[in-house]
Amino acid sequence: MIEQLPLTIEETRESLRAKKFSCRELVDAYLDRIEKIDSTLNSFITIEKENARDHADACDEHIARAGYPEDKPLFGIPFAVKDAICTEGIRSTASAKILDNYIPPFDATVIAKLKSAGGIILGKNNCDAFGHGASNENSQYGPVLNPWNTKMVAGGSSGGSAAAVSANFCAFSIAEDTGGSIRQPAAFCGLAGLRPSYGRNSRYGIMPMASSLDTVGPLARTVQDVALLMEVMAGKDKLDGTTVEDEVPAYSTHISKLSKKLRVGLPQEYFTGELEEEIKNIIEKAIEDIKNLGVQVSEVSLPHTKFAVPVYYIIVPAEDSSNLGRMDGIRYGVRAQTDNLFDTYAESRAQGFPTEVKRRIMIGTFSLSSGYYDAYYAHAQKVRTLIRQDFDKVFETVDLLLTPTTPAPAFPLGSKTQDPIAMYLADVFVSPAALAGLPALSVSAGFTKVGLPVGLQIIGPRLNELEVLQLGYAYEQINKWFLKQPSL
Amino acid sequence: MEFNSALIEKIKRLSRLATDAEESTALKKQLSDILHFVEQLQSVDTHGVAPTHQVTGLSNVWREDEIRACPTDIQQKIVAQFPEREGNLLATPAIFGDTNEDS
Repeated sequence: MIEQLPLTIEETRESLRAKKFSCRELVDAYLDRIEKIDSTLNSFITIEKENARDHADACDEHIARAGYPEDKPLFGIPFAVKDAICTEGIRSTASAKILDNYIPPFDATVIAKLKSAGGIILGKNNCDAFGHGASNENSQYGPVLNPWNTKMVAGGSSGGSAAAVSANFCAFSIAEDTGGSIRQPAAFCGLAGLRPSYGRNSRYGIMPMASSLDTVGPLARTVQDVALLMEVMAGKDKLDGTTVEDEVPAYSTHISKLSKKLRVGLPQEYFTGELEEEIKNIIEKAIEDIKNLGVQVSEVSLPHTKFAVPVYYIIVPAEDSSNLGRMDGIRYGVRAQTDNLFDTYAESRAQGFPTEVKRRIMIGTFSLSSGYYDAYYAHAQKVRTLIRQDFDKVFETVDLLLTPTTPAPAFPLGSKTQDPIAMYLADVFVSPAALAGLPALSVSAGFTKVGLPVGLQIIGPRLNELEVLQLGYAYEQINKWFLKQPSL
Repeated sequence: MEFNSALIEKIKRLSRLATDAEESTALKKQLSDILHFVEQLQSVDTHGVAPTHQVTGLSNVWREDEIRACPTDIQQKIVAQFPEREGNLLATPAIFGDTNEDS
């Protein structure tokens, strides 16, 4: 029996190594907890009970025979995967009914890497359908509730991943971040979540949303765990031509070596307007903590910040509408029965997509259509350049940027579902770094008076995940907010 | 720019999406609101600014065009995903003679 589930990957490894519990006991403890509590949170769509137990038994046999394999950093560690990521032999719906019965014949590259590092898949996490949303309310499998307060959303689009890790249903979850889908739910659920630089991790097998922005990364309890997972996942993949050759640093080994000369910028555009007073105070306290580490902090400006969400909501729906063309009910997924081909497409898509997916496809189709392309899509791509240039300029004078991850904590279920633009603006602080292809981490910065988690965002220059993680780790060690657990 | 009924119908057709009357009415307002929201970008001067298509700086990433055999078990898994089939063949509604198609 496991009395206290471990909180971090390192702690889990130590316990398995010391035979405090077996892999099977660990898997059973997580599955029990999911069974008892997840009917409230709805963080899983598919649970792989039998396969996870078989896999755990095989790990235990290996440990009994040959000891704990030190060359496999995730050996026997149970994890979950956002349902918009393909997993071989495990149903992968992307939280949309059009893929209700879809079983991929292959693993996404990052999943294959995590499996070969010894990880055990427990199941697939609920999300906004195809990653479209900031609250997990656009899932056709129901919304995900926040473990810290079940009247609140868990965030999105990777709300199921965040809720599952926060509720201690698994050691970590792998998710994707197109415009904030890892960082915003990490902030809402009190976790560490990294959007890597675009091109750092392979997108092969990630159901594509906006191909020029999509990234895949980890949601975990600590920055240390995030670093370890990045080490396993990152690198060039010949199956994704946008991955870069750049060497992958040993993030977890170097994580505690924070540079004494680090210069950090506070973009003033993130500290005005929509930022709630209580969040501002918590983030200012975090900044004081970081100053006390000996880091130089100065104000900087990213003047095009306010245009990031409108740019995002032209470029992303355009790329979305193109990528989702493959969801037609013809070769896989659920096909509506009609008497002609056009209606087969139109009805399969009508039934298989929630409303937000339809809105995005229609906006995207519009902005790419003849007569509107230059005024909308091409113009937005130029404003995207200005947003990137803002970042290029500030990174000439500072090494990293610190911002709140979100302007407000988790919001009540249903409070933004009738107003798409209010929902879009929940991503106001997470979409700029995404448009620029930069690495950005959300790390827990404490709690509001009513006990909702607050996230601190650390943004770095392209491919400098290492310094982002180093600062996140140094900050995490000060307050150790990750030790606090939701009462469920 | 407003999403009027004619534009909704045109975009629905291009998007291969069916919506009922109630959903179309809601979409008309929501899509118009979204367009108004993104139109704030019209105030940004982009004269002489190059568009961003991608952020990696990579270009022309080549690989050999190799023929790789698909293992039989993978073939079977793919065929098993077909919504309708005859043997190992994918069945679809008839492609020709569809009167609802765009010109």
